[in-house]
Amino acid sequence: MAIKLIANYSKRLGLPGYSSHQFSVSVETELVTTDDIPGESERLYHLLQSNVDEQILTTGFVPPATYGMDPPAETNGHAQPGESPPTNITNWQRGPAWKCSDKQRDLILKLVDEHQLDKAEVESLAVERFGKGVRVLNKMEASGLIDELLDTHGQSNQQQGAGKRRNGSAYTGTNGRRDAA
Amino acid sequence: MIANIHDPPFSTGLTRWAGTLPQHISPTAAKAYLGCSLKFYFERVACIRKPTSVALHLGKAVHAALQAFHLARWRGGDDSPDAIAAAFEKSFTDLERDEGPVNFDDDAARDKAHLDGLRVVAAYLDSPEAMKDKPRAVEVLLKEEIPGLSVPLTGAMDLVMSNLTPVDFKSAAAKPDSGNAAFDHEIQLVSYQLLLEAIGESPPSLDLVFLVKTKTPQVIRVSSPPADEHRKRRVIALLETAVEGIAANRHHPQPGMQCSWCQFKNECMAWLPAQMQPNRRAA
Repeated sequence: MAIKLIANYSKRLGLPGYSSHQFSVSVETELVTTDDIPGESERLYHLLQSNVDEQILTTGFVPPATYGMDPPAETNGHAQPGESPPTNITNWQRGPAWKCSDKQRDLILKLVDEHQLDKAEVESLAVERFGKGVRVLNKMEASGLIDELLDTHGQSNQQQGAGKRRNGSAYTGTNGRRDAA
Repeated sequence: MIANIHDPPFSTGLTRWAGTLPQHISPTAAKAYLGCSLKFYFERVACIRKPTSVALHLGKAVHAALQAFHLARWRGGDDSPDAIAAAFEKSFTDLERDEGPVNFDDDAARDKAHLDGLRVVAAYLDSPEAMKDKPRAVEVLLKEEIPGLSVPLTGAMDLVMSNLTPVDFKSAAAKPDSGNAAFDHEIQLVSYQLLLEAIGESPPSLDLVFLVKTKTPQVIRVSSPPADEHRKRRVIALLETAVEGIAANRHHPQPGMQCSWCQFKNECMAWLPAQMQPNRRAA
């Protein structure tokens, strides 16, 4: 009579944003004698463990901090390049949470206000450059939008970007140091 | 059971230096500190000005030209060779005026550097490596909190391609060793990956594009896969080591091949450990 040995190895790991991922591998094998059980179990355990570990390093989609914060009635602001922006874009007080930093959001709103820019045009610019609306631009994309707005409206020398990189002033002993945040 | 891959690489207990921590750490600063902590002190703490090296000056002007090209591609502007050459010319002159003097031996050396720059920019525009699509970002500065680092990480990426691959351009006098290039620039490349991941993006590749100033200029792309957890922890540990050293005001000579072309040899020769102590107490 054949002796069947079924081995299973499973692992669940935590991920940011209260999420986790799990992977398990099962194998079934036949043994000639029960004397083979200890050796075969050890071999299978190490084999399955190494394979699970190898695969579970790939986390796949990990939700960002703002995942699921979009109001259900709204679109998430994504659009393909060339598509028309959402019709309600002129009201930035409503819609999904801003994905860029607070400072970037404030600067975009300040630029729009100070230069009396048409929000619909700024929204169209964001869609053209990044394929998504202003509110859902991440920090990198918002930085690009701000650079372009500043370049267009002549204040690029006041901000980062436009080829201006920071020097080493963050390391001087008398200036610019701060407590760990 | 394997270790939790999200553990910080180590804990340095930097709270005792909380008042003297740098505002942030950049991969360039970390590499500079780890290369020679005393040169880092002269350059970035004492801020001793030296004439700009020809290679640095040329590299900056070439970068400005490439930035103009990528911005033009992105925004639908003029990306013709003439327009990009004009951007190089302007940057070459402006940098001399604003950040000079440049350490040219004579006018002939200046002319040669100028011509080298134009040739290498033209080679890039003609090469298959020249950006054809619209980029995702050009010359973008990111600053993010990274688990395991006591201060925010900053990094300025030359280019982020549409598929989110960060690209850094390097001017080089000789053809790079492709096998070593990714290792040589590991801190920078992995830092870019960490920054992109911190804003919720996953780069599929980490790329270097070398602009080689040989007689016939060459453009060589070196792509490397994204760092795994081990490499990321290793780079975070390197960055944190630099932060720890800077916060502790630990600066000392690190003799090596690089001393041959260092501009701070005289200052280095005058160095004694006691000189650093007053600053450390004052910090």
